[in-house]
Amino acid sequence: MTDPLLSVRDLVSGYGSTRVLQGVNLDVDKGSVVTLIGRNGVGKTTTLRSILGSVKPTSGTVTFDGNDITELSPEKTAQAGIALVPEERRVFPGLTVRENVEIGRIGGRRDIEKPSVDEIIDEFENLARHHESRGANLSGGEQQMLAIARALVSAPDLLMLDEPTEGLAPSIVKQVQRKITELNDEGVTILLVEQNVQVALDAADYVYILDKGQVVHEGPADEVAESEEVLDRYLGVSLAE
Amino acid sequence: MSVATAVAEQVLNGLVVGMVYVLLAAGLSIIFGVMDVINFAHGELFALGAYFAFAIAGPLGGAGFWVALVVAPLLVGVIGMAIERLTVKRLYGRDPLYHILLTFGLVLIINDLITSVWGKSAQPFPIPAALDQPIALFGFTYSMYNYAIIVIGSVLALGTWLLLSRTQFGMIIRAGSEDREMVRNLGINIDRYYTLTFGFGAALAGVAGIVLGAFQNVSPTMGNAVIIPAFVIVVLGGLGSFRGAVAGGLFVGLVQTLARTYTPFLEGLIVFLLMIVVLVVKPTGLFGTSIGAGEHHDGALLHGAGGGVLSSETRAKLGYAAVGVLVLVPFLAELTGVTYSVTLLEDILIWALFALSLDLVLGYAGLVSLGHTLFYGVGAYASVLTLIHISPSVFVALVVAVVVCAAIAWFVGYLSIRVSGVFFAMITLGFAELFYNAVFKFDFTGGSDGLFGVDVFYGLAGLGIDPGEFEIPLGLFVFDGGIVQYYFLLAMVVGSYLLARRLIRAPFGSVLQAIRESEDRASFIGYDVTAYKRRAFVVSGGLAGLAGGLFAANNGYVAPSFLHWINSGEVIVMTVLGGMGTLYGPMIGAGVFVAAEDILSSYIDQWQLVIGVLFVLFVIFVPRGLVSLPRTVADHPTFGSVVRDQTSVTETEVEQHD
Repeated sequence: MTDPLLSVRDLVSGYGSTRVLQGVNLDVDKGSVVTLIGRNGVGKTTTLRSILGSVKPTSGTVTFDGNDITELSPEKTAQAGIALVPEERRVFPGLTVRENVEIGRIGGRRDIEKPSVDEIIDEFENLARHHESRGANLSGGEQQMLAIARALVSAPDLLMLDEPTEGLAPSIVKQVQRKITELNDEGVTILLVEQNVQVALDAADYVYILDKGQVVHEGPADEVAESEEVLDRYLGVSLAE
Repeated sequence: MSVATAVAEQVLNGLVVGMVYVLLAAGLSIIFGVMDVINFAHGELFALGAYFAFAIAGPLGGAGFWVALVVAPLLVGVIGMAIERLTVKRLYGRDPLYHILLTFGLVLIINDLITSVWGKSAQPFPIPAALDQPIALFGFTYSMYNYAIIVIGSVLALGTWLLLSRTQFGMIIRAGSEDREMVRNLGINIDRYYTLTFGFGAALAGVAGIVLGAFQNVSPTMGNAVIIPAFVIVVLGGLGSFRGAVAGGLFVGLVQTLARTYTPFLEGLIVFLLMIVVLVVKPTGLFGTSIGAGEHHDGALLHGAGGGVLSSETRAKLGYAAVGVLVLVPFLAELTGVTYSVTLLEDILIWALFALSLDLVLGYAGLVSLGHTLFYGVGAYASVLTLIHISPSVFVALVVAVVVCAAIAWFVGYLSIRVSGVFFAMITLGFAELFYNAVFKFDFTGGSDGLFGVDVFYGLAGLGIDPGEFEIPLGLFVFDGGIVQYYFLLAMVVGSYLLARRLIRAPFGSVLQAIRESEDRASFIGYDVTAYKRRAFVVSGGLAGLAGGLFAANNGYVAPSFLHWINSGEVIVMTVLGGMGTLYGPMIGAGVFVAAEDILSSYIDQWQLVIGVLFVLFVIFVPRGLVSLPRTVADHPTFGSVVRDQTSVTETEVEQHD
């Protein structure tokens, strides 16, 4: 077996004196979709932010593609090939759709051929329609697609998505879900944080369940989906109708 | 000359001035929009541009102007980049207040450097001979140089617009002004762009300085003269909006010029009136949007953390000791012959009261009042006018001063407190400038001379002490009127401190601090946040009025300079220097500042430079003020053990906000 693309070991991290992560361990294999699920406030977003470097871990290591990136700033991490689609999308509201994608293309790795802005925009039918609109004037679903496009255009080795279906209408959730599957089929490695357990389990190859800053359960997605006990204990949900 | 050509000429004059403003405001606005930095030193960069050009063009003659027009802004740009790298950069993530303080220090430094290199007086900066001639266009003659200004300004404005809207650099700048963290997350090193942006803004200011310097002349006060109008334009047009800076610049240039010709009374007032009206109606300015505006409230105000190391009993003892020393000073002064020290102490006490009043809103309610000298000045005017026209009693005069200032504070607060942060700062500055310009316009305020030679009576209805005639010999010591004044002043200042302390320890003070920590949470609990802030502002205005009234009564005069914005800047400096959010900190800050200024200015010519440098270092390294030094020392690994022993942990928690 080859080494995982991303490997997080004993990660402890938090804000000020508050420790949010109490030693998180997880691996993301190249080409897979790994999801991180858990209740509100258990540290899912903090895990992503600590990997990226916008929150400085107090201890533990993050290894990416064989290199230790624990101490890297967000700029450097992004330049190493990790792209983030953040919570609440955070498209640039005053920039046009085109500019939002262009600025994504400036970022990311420097040493690779990146897709052109047009190629990426064409991949998203609802973006191509109004590529001169400002980010602020898009619907929530369109903004989500734009945030994904902005990340993809940098041709990242790892795409991290933070709750991409949050606040979207069910039909749009389906679209986002399809997009994730599609991207994975094209070979993009994905680390997904998701509140919507159904989406998380459907999209994932492998699942980590986070509780109180630690991984409390892990396993292949289909196994976790079968295990009513795990779902009930850590998430308080039941997938049965 | 027909009416139409006269108007056309005025409009052209307005456009000339407007173009200078556009260049100045564009840089200021971009710097604010991208980095949240309110750059008070922008006016000095403007002046630097003019002086560099003056120095370059002079020896070259002929084509020198054109060489200077290119080289001088580049130099200013490099200086701007250096300023960003060395100072501004260290303060990112803090409240914009700290940038105001930092750039205020830079104003002192740059201004002092300019006067020491080029002298204090204004010097003519000849415009190139080729442009120094009238030209007939559209049926009337007009200076070719003025047309050139309009052309240069338009070209640069257009170029800036293209840079911002059409280039990759501009795109990153715009994205950064909306969400800088996201730009970082994309893998773009935004810091590098900050430096370039600061340099670019500085270079634009440099061009404006050259153009205006050749239009009028170069003088060390030229930066000071344009910085406030430039801020007004930026706020009027919408903070961070380039379109707003252009529209606002041209508009203010036109309005100022036309007002000077057609309604001289309103000259100097109308711009501030406009700004206040615009901000009250549309707080984001003419072209401002709420996009990105939410971001301007992040960054923490750092409060003085004096507690913990010295126990509250120790501090109370120090307080009594300080008052005791102050009581004894007149005796010591008389005995040693150093009577001058009493005058200096009177100044310090008055500034201490002024700083205390500011701290109530700045340190306890988180309101950055950038025009606090409004109350100081109005208090001084109100008390002098009362002494002249109503009663010679200082008591009556001070009551009038306090009441008038509290009423004005209520009105200003009513209009401005619902807008927060930078906008509040700008409205208060606008009101202060409005009053500053207004006192020149009236006879009853004494115009630019002010009012002086006022006699003060320390009593009521004939019972009391006239300092001019009072004298009781006590052995070696003569208890005279001047000493009566001193003790009266001391009593008022100590009394005000005790009043403020009572207020802050009452539930009112706790609510204020809750609002400062989190406005949302305080309002969710059910407090009327706006009403509380307004009440604090009224108390603060009243106390500042008392300080101004005391100074006027003590010295027997008042002048427009009491209302000058420099005072507002200095009192903020004192408050932060001492440690805002503690009542005694700002008073200590006032003492140190006034004493340092007094001592340095009597020994060194370049005292402003020294104060400026000290101040810049202070803002960067000791942002919590002098009162935080014991804490800093206690936390120091080697020196700490000496003082730490006396400290208990619980006290650190409890005493933080006293």
